[in-house]
Amino acid sequence: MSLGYWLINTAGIGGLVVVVVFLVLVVVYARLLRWILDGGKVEEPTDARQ
Amino acid sequence: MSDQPELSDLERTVFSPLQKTSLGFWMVLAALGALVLWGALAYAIQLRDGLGVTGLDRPVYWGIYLTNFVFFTGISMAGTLISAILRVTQAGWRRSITRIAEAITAFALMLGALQILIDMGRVDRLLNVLVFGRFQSPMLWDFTCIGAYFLSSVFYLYLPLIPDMARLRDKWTGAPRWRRWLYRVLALGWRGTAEQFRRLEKLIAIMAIVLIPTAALVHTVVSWLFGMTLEPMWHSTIFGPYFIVGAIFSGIALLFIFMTLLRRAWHLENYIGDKQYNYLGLLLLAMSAFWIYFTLAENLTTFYGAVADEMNVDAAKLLGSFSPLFWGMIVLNAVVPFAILVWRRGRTPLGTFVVSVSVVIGMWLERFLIVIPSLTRPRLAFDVGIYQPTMTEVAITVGSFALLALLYLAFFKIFPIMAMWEVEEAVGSGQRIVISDREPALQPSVH
Repeated sequence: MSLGYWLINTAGIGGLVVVVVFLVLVVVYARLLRWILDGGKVEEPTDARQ
Repeated sequence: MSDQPELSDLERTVFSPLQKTSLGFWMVLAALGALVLWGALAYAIQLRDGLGVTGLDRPVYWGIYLTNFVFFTGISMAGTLISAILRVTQAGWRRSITRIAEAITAFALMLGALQILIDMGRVDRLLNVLVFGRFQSPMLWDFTCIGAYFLSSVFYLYLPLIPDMARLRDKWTGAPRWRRWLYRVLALGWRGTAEQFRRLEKLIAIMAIVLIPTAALVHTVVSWLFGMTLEPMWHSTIFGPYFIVGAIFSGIALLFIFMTLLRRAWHLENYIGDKQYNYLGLLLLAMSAFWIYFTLAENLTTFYGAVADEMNVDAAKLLGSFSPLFWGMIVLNAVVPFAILVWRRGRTPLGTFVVSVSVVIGMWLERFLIVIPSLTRPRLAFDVGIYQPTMTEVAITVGSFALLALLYLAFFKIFPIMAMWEVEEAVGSGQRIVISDREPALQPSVH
């Protein structure tokens, strides 16, 4: 049985992939939010828009 | 209140619906709530008695819940198209309507996913999708893509909200306690420095580019739920792009409906004007033309090939028991848009509203005609199947649409309807937000 066949036909592997995709997205988006907010620590004059 | 910070015209316009609630708002909310309750009661009966209370039976195992699922995921395209594509192409006039569009995506996806749960019958078995999930199944492709799209859309909706949350936190000092807490938490300590804005705009631009192919993938994968089976008229390579075009088409129509109602209720005429109606109206007309092309291609190819199983289904649509729905769909999706939108005077709030209501109904019919006729005439040795939605299904469908409107309305009672910083940015750069016969509130320069 080839690895490809096993990956797409084994019960539970698909569900695991879904969970991993969701977790990765949540972590990436959380880190991106942190990155934006860390921009406030950079020493610059306050923007007039806010 | 004298201790309140001074507000600009834009801020007063945007803050006003958050601060004041009219009797009309409560009445609309109550009416929608009653419809949602009706749907919830119908669902409770279905949960107790099983799917036998629906019109579903062999060979028609998908009915209007699946129609609703395809329809709701389709209209979710509105946010991506209007916001992401127009952002990438730097269309300045989009700024006052992007949030209205983005919110549709988030709520429509929620309602789409809800339809699957309703259709499952045994909702307690939902986790089996993960526990026994195999990537061989297109259903799992759907689960993955729609989930990822939903997370990304909510993130994309949230990003431009951050500066607005900070503004509400700082400028609406007399807000109720729960609102102050909410705005403070969601502002994430935003200070509004130039570097924060630079990073925010960069990330929004990247997300816009990421979301366009993601949305296209989602609607393609939804079409593959049908296309990967051997049912007559489903097993077709045209389904992917056909679904994408239908999604954009219905998404713009729903955007027009919400945009027009909110514009009127919350007096946004100075920010949402002729320019948005004219340009978006042309886009809706173009999508109608694309939709006609795909519909013609689908039916002509089937007719010319004349494969018996497919002809059974196509004949039922064009000439048989489904023909009133089919020709009604043609009128609503093709005749009405062309009769009104080709004229400049038709691309007004009233004209586009009429066309949009027509298109939303027409596109729901289109989804119905994709799902049901093929199942009534399968390749298997069945007699012609009959599907008649029951009152339970009707109630749940009406309740779902009411829930979409209710969530949407509630969202804009809590959050600003426009990204104020983006609208101000457009004014600062001299872009015209609105071209109107009336005096525009933003000072436009010719651009």
